[in-house]
Amino acid sequence: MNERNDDAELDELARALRAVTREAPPSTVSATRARVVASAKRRGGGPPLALAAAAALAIVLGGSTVWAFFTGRLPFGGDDAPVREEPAPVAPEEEHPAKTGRAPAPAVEPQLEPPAVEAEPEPTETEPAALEPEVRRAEPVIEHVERSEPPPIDPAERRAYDRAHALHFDAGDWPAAIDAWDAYLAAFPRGRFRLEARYNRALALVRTGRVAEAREALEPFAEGRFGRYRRTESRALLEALSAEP
Amino acid sequence: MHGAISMRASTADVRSERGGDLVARVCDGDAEALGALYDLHHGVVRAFARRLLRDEAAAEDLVHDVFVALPRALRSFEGRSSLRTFLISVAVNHARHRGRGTARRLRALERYHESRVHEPAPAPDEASEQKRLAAILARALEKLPMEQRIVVVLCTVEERTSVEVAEILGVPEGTVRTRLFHARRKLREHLAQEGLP
Repeated sequence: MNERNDDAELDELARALRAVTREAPPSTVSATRARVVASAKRRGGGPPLALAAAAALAIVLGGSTVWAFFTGRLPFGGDDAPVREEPAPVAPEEEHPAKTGRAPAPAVEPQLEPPAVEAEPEPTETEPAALEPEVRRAEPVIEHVERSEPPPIDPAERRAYDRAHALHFDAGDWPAAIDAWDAYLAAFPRGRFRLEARYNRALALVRTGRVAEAREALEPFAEGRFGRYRRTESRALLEALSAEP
Repeated sequence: MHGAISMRASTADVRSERGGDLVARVCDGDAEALGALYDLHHGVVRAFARRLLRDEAAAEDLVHDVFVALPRALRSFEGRSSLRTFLISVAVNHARHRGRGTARRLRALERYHESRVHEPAPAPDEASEQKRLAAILARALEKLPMEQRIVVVLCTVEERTSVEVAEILGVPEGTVRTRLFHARRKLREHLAQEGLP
């Protein structure tokens, strides 16, 4: 082929690429703007000294609370949740924390909540389509399948979940979201939203390119170890990841 | 850090970009100011990102990352170039670090989601022909090393001068021309293998 002709054709291709990439849909533009502002607000949230002081306070208060709980000085569980003294039932999960690469749960973890219902909850959309950056928010799936009156959610658990949810779905800050999901799962290994947390963590792993860990995280869902919950999606994602060169 | 662009921005420079005191406020961590700066300049960053990465989700992530990094990055902006040129240099640096792996994996997600949506076949009009041609070049670009791809996008697709591209990349102008020469030669080979448009 003639080089000069090739150059003309290359320039034509370049013009086409220039034209089709000039604009993006307004919804995409505004969604990314929302992510940018949310990320900036989160990152710019106060001077480091204040953060350090807040962290120190949280550690002190957290330690005191655990001590008070185990010494019976604190009727943990809020206004209407009874103190549970019997060991909690074991949830149908066999995975060892070391295998998942997550931070292991604390050695002493007061069991404040019964295990989440595992009986094939109906899948609901909690992960915004990876390529649809609209900000969506969905209620945790487990809540929809509670048939009897569910026990109240520990506010600390709710806060941990909401934080991870915001990092994942609002800020789109995948590395921070992974850390937050890990923190949630470590603090509440039998938490009400643990399945969602695990699935969303897997998605965030995909987004950050940690494919091996993502596969490991998706496999239990794909194998049906949690019933139908996210089984189809996980299988499709694993297949899509495997198809990559 | 961001190419060769470094010099404290003067107020006049910034105002000439219709940015007013936005830069200073963004440097101070003002999220709303960052949003305003995004409103002014997202187009040029997004266009570059979409040309470079092909994958729209990855491009949006790059746009996000560029603007989120701005409060810190702007501290090294000294106003020798326009703010828009500086933004592209930030985008280039982020793109270099993202690598190809992330984009590929994101495409896996994209394919998965696309597979669930029925899309009617587009009518064979001029717009769809442009899309076809653009897709051919985008595929060929993906086969280039990132440094060469960046040069092709900046020089050939965006028609920037080699001086400006040298400024963005922080390399001598001769290096830009050399990279472009090799990149275009490789592109021609890839396009010939595909049978050209």
